Amino acid sequence: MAELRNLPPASEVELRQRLKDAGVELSEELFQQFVGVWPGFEAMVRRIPRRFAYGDDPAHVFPPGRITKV
Amino acid sequence: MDVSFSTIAELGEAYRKGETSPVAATRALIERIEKHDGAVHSFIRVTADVALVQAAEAEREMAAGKTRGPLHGIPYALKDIIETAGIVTTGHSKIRQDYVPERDAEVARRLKEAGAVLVGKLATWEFSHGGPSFDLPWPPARNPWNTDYLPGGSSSGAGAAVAAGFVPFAIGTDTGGSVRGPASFCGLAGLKPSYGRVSRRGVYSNTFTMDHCGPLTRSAEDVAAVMGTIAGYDPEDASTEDVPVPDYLDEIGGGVQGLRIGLVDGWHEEAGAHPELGGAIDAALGVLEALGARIERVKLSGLREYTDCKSIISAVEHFAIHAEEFRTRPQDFGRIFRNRVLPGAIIRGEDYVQALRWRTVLAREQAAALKRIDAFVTAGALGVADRANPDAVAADRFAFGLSITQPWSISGVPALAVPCGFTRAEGLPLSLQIAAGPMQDGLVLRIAHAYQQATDWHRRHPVLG
Repeated sequence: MAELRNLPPASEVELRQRLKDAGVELSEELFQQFVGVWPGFEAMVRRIPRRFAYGDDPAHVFPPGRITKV
Repeated sequence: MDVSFSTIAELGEAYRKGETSPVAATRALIERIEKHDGAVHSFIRVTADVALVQAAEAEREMAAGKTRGPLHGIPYALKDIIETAGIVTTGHSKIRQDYVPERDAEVARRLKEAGAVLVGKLATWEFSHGGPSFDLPWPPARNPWNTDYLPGGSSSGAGAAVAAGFVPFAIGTDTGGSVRGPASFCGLAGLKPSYGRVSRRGVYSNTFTMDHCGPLTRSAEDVAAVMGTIAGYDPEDASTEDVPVPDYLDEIGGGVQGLRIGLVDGWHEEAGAHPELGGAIDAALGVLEALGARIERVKLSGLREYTDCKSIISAVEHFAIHAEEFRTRPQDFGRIFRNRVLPGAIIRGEDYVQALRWRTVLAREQAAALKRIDAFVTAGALGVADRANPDAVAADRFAFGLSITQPWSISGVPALAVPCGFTRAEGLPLSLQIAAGPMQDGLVLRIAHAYQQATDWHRRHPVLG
């Protein structure tokens, strides 16, 4: 299994496709700005710990009493 | 009476003694704004007509013996992501430059009910995230201590306006440090309340799970006065806690005798903090120790871990809020906002959920530390304000930099910045940050008040040309 942190950086072709898949199409100027900042975010994403136990606390909870309080 | 740098408490006392009145004070501050804000750029819109009507109403009520509490007749201003009925709320963005809300945000409604006087809407980093930006319809706010510098952000106008003597308090918002940063860089008190303590209904969201409204003032005592009005359950904001609001003003004089206060080990060194910061923090801890607190050292995860976790969650949540605009008009955002938020478009769902799980782990390590101590202290900012130079403001700082405010955003605990010195080289404020357990906003204010009773850093103010 590949460790995320060992993967090569996303290429410009991949980044353009991933943005397109999200419905975002940028001019070349704006895309190049994005290419300049993405490596910092990519590094952060790849540093996230991922080995949690099945029974660990949930990532978030939904308190229906607060949403639907009458 | 010159009311420019009066605290809320002092202004209220002056009203009671007849030394000034809400109308006179409001007029004087509006004149000061007209005279000096051309250099500070703290206001996007001055609501002079609204303010004078509200001030006159407060004056009539006071004359008739009616009092609405400590904010009655006190001028203030709102960060321009807080909706105000009938008053444009821009988010400091081209995207919303003509948007007029129909309803006040809950925090604005509460302040109106308390008789406070709305003087205007304040500059912010674009949608409380993208800044300082020089490519938006309004210029970025400047730091009143030296207008060659910036006031921090994102509640940039709030910090600048209070420091400049334009209003005695302002309401900002804080997701990762946006109240505490400007408070630190402008020599003010700024509180990120506990998550769920103050309603965010009617406030433009940044990161749903970390957004807070909070006051910027000249003293911890004034923060307590504002919190007494804005804190409390709101059935229209599911994040708010339905628990009683303490009388923060009544509790603030409790002192620090016997409290265990923990300096977080290693954060300043990890981030390469300003060389004069260590001495200022040590001196502040010495003051607290002399007042009877016990100073200890505590170890938490590094700032890198906290900053990574917060940044991933923020990018995804903030992109979701503005996704449609990113698809249809991305060029209308400022460059810094666009590049800080757009990564959220391509961060995967699993990454976001793992970051949320990690957030719980980080919050729990703070809870464990708080079994041994009563409060944390760190610097309020890692250095001094940035120069107002568009070329020197790194658009990608969010992608690489470290934040000393975000650990308390992750855990949702209250955190307050107060001034603790000034640099010799630049003459700019340095700041102390105090954090405690969830809903212990009163304890944080108590510690800060004790510190401010023994020091006078918060009494200093800039002189505007």
